[in-house]
Amino acid sequence: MLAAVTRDLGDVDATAPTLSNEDLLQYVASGDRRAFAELYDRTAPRVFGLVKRLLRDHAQSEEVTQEIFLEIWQSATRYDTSKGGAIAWMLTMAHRRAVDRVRASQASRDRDQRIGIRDFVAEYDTVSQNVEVRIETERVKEAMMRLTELQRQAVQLAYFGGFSHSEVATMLSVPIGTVKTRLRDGMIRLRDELGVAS
Amino acid sequence: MNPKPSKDLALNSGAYVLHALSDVENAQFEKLLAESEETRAEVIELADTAVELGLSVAPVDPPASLRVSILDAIATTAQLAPLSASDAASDDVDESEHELASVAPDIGTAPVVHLAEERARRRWYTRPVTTLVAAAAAVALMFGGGVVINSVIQGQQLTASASQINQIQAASDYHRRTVDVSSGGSATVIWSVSQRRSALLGTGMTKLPSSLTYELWYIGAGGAKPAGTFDVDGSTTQSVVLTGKMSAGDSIGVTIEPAGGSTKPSTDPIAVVTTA
Repeated sequence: MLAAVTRDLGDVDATAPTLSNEDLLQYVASGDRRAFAELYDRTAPRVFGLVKRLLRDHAQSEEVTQEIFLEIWQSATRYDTSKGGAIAWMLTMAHRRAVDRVRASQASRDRDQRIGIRDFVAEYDTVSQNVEVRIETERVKEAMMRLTELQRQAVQLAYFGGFSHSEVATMLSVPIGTVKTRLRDGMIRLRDELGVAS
Repeated sequence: MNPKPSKDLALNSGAYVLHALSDVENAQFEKLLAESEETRAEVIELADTAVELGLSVAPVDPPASLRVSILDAIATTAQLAPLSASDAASDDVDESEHELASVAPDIGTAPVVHLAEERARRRWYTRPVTTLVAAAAAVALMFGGGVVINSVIQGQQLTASASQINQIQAASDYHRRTVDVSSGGSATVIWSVSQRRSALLGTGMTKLPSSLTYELWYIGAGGAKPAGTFDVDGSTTQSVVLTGKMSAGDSIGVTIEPAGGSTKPSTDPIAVVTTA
């Protein structure tokens, strides 16, 4: 899985074609700015794409992406390969930062008024030109179809919308406790469908 | 312990990996995470599942300007000490010492900043931007405005100051507030209570005659404690890290004092920033 993703990140710099993202992070941890630039080139479209999916606003997405890469630079010294791949580490950080921004910004409340649930739920059809991303998108889309309607909507609103569980509860008109269990059940189902195992 | 709350808490694993919990619940859950191997195992798998969701999003090429901006920023951004090292260090150990190494080499190569670029940076800085962007800009300003450095940062090593400003702005509890200075210009104070540090960035403050100096104060329940003096040369933005340790709730004040500074404020403050 990770190997496929790494390749898909494409445009590997000729100066370091054989280095994995994890290798690059190790160099970054020692203050190597060239390795950082290489890592940025490989991964920025992923990070920016995810951030933009949550925030919508282009300028804010740029700001948050900058925050994320500065955090990557600062905390590469604390990255632990045994706790997962570089992309997983970076996208987890990216998602958290994007969600923080959604929560913090007034713009997000305006955004919520403009964009209904429908947009978050129906947005799978954005076609990527990248074959491997398309395959991944299809896989996730299919796995999502195995979830109950409520599980699916809750997971999508939380992950792609950056909504808190209480916001999701309001949007779906169900109690918070129900949202929590649906998020858990939904993620467990996705885990099994996608064959994620640690 | 009552098993029920922890069982309920364990059901938060899905919301946790989706970053959908409130701050309080998040902290509670992380406590459970530290205690329960079972929950930990589940969270690792669900977090990986969340990453799969992230990987299903179509990549979008960011503008080239972002790359330039980020690579610029890291050149003046210190890296964190590895966890093992900082775990060993006590709270009061000044981490800037660990981090100087990664900042220092860049100072010699700091580019000559042209006026237009400096203006752009000022604009960038004066915008209410986010933490780290502002950090990078503030440091860039310090490196850019060569004239500022000698006059403002008396007795402080530039690298230490840059690194400290950087650290303050990287703190999770970083704040900033801007007030007008009654004698002219404005002052932005940045602070982090957890680091017990603050810095002042003055813009357009009046140049004082040599017989006078600006003095900084931490003002708390026990009165005003001197926190260093500084002078300005009347140009652009200047920054200084306050000396001493900030206490939660302290206000930060600026007075004009006789050259050399005073141990107690002898005039009314020209600027006060409350941090509570």
